[in-house]
Amino acid sequence: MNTVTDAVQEIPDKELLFRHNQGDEHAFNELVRRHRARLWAVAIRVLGDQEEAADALQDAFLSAFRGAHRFRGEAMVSTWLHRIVINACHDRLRRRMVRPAVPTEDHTLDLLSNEHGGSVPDPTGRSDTSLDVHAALEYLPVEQRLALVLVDMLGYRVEDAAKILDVAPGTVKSRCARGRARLLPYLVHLRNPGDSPDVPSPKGGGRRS
Amino acid sequence: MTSHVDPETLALFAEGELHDKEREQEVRAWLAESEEARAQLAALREVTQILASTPVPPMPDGLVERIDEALRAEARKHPVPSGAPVVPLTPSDENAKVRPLRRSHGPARWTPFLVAAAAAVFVLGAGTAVLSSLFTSSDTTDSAVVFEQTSPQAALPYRLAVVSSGTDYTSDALADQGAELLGRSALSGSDGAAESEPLTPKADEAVPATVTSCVDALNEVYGAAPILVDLASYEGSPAWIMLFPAADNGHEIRVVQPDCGEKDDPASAVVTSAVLSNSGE
Repeated sequence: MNTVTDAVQEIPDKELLFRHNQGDEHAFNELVRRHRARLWAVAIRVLGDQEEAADALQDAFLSAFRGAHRFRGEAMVSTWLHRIVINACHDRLRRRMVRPAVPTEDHTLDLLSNEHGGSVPDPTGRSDTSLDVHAALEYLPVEQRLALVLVDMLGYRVEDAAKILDVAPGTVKSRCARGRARLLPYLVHLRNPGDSPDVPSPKGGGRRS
Repeated sequence: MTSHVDPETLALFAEGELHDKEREQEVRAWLAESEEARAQLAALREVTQILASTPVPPMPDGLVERIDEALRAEARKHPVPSGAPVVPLTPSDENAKVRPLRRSHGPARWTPFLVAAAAAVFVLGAGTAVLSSLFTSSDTTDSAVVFEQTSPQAALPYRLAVVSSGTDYTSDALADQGAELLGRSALSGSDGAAESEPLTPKADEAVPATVTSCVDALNEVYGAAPILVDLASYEGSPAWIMLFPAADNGHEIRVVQPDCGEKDDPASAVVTSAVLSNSGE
């Protein structure tokens, strides 16, 4: 699938990147136009904060713009762009977590981490689902969060997420599994009480490949 | 059996990532007999559903424009993206013929120009005596590469620009020769075409696989791929001359032994290198 450039009317991403490298001023804009919505979704999901996500997205596009000549052609442009966005987000997360407040190995849930993580899920009452989910994600180690954002939240295939994260598919699966287990106590209050476990959801199940 | 299967084990089991047959049996048995276990598994699935159904907030107003503006500003700062493999295709017949990697007779005709231009250079390291002996056994079977005029279809969106300038690079003149190479390949954006013949990159099929593997290996080591490779010679022996992007839009020229792709330590194939002072203007 790397080199397939079917006779589709639309210019392939790789061709656009090549044209950009040749000095075509509009080629990169077209790439941005094509991918920004998807990449925004990644950034906002990973970072949770609009301002930060916006900055990360802009940084990522700038570094892709500057580093376009380093694109080596064996990956898909979309994968490459995702990596750059993930890296931009990762940098910000790391900076945010200078204090080792988020556990990485063991099960210790740092309940004090609301200092840096904004609101904590309120187990007693209703609150905005998005906020709760984001707050819950704050409890995850970065690797687990990245895997869950791509696979569970945005419905990427495990294989694609693995390429983006540059790890084996099995690693993505186990990170997702650990992340889900860790999120469990924070999301119980969002379950539909009395409902069958098979709550239909628009994107649910997208993670299965 | 109220044995403990914690959520994590259960989640790993569900993903087939437990990697432990006995443990898997235990989990299966537990699921078969325990309502609680099944409820927990269902709850885990619900985590996925909750995550999947959380709406993505829309892009903030103005972000699209902000990004476009930032890119325009960036484009103004660097009108020609540095390192772009923009190599003019010359329609001259000469390029459609067989191009020897290494000229069998006489120096390349631009060598006098290069020698004349050679002045102060930054050569880092290099023992040329050792070097020659390393290279002499290098095979010459691929010393003639048929250049095929690339059809637009065959052109990959990104490809490594590989040329054969016929230059014999020397330790003394390396940096200047690198600058000359850069100019002739039009990578610098300056038009040196008036004073020397532009170089034509090889068609993808004509680039030896050993070159590609070497470039990939070095890319791993340096975290950057060369923008241009000249299959040429160094001090009279076959060598691949690679131009890498360096700080401040400059370039670094590295002289690489042709077998570098097969080495455990590809960097050891780099014989010498020099920094091109900010080329172009």
